Amino acid sequence: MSVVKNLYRDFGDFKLDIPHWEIADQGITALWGPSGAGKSTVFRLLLGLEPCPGLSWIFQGQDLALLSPPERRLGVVFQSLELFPHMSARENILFAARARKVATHRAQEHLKELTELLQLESFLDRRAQLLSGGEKQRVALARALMGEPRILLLDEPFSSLDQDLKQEARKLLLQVLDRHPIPTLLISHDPEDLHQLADHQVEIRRGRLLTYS
Amino acid sequence: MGRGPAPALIHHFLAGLFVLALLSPLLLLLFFVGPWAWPQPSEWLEVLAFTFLQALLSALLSLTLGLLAGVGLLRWGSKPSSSWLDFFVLWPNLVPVLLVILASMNLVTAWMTFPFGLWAIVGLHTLLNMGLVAVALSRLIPERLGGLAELAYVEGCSALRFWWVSLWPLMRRDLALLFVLVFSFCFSSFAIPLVVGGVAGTTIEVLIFQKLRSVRTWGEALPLALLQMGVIFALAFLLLRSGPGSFKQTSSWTEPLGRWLSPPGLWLLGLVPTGIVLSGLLTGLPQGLQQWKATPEIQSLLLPLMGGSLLVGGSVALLVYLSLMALAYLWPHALLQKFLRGYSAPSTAVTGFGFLIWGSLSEVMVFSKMALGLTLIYFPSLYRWMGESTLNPLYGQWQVAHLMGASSGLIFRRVVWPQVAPQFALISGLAAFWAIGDFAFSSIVAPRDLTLAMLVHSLMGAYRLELATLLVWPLLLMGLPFLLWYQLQKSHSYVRR
Repeated sequence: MSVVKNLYRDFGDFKLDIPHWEIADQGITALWGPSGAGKSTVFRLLLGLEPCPGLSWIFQGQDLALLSPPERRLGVVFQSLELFPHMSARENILFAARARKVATHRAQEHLKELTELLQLESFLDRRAQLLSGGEKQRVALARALMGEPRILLLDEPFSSLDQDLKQEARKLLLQVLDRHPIPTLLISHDPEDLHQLADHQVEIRRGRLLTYS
Repeated sequence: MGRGPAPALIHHFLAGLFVLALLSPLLLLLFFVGPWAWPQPSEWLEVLAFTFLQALLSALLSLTLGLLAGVGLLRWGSKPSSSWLDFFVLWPNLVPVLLVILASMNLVTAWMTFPFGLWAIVGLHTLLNMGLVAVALSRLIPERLGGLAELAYVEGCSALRFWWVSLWPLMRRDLALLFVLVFSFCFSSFAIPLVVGGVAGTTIEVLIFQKLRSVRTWGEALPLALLQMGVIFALAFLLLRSGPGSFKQTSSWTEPLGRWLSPPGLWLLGLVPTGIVLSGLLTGLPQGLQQWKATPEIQSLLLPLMGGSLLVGGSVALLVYLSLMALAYLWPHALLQKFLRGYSAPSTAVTGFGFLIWGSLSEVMVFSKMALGLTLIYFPSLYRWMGESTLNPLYGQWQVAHLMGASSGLIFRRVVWPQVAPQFALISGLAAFWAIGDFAFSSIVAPRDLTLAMLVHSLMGAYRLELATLLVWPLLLMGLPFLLWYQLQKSHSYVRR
């Protein structure tokens, strides 16, 4: 269990107020709620993209909130995916290994495994700019996993895909997490995501957590 | 989102150096010039009022004509040819200002005595800026009003009523921003009032130049320069506070919108400035050729001066490119970005004299000063115009790379540099073209004509407009590759806008 405390943010007309939140350190925890409920704010604050004085996030005995965003070693997939468009899929994924200074042979092994798991072979050397939505989404996931993160944070990662591709992507995510059991926080407002992926669900409304299940 | 403490410190230090380099002309003047003194109020208050008046009239005229032309341009929608049309409408803004001044003088003097003074300044500022306003509005109007216009059209609203009820109220903020932008440009413009202002058309910038020409009045130039920078800074602050209109509609209803809102030939208005400049450059060419044949001393100067122009242009391109890359390495740096958004380069006169009062008059030194000075003058506006919009779309990628733990060096080398390099090369090319056509700054720091543009300016001063016009063509030819590159580059960029 990782424990988040004092997740506060006051935007004037909107207040995020989460004094205490226990996030499971196994499986997928889905944070869900309507638009404007504060899901993305929680995501950005946990990543350290915005300041949150007083925040503590204890994970395996260490307070991640005291670390700089890169030191938190979180794997992240944004809704916009943010692939590097001028690099190939392979270069995008290996960039994460290079950033984390993963040894070359280890990175190559990991790439091979992710390629197989996420079925990337056919477009591995294609420039990211030219990939389809589903392919981009898989590359973004592989890139997030490549750096061997402590926790995986996914912000509406399937939102730009159509129903069939979403289904496929969910299946692939479950396969990957089955092989690499990394605790995952999934932000979504899609009931299907909750139904098919979530081991734990947390509802957020108007900046407050409502239900745990 | 911050970097680690050590890298952040290095970044702040480098950003500080960057700011110091940009401010160096002003700092040099502050260091070398004796005690400050305000000139007589009767001397500068009237000039200040005139500067405001010419900037106000120029901005109003540019905005009115630019709005009409911009609505006309909507008719071309997103056809491939519309990109070329935009290019030709923007053309007077892309070429060195010397060409616009000379062409207008040439064209007008073929019919009447040139009307030096307020209306000449206003006319030339309008020629320079209305195309920019037109292209900006032809992109903003569908963005702001596309969906709404579609609905209004379907529901039977008349075009005139739509102009009055929707276009004006909803575009008011964008129009105000464009007004402030053009006003600031005209307020601090130097070359145009210097050449066509005449005795009665002195602006603050020209007064600063006059004060700096005599050692005895150097101290009076500084408060004026600070006053001018203060006004520009206040305007930029205003611009920053209001920000662009936040609402955006997605609609592809551009072409029909243009057909609905504008009469058929209105888009041609956007091409008028280009037409004026081009016909002005063609007027008097036969006489220019005759004068050329009769002046062997000018013939012998052509090649060395073209070499000088290319040297200055190439050096400015290199320095602008390196400065942009240094900025890209430091990016994102909130304080530096804020500074650059509000900062306008010290005036041409201040920069010129800041560079004149130190170092020797050897050719190497003078060329170096020309390259450095022009870089410092062009960089802030080029960054605001194109540099910032090249970097900002990469912020999401920067965040992801940073979260992955990539160092600043790695992010710069692998993520930022490959994506911004083509656009930065283009910006540098444009700076080179402007530098090739500069005469105002160069005339202050160089003891004699070292570039073709300086010779053209000297010929204009001697009323040999036809010969000057002929010599402007090699300048245009030297810049042509940059202009074509500009046009081609626009459609080949990884950076999403």
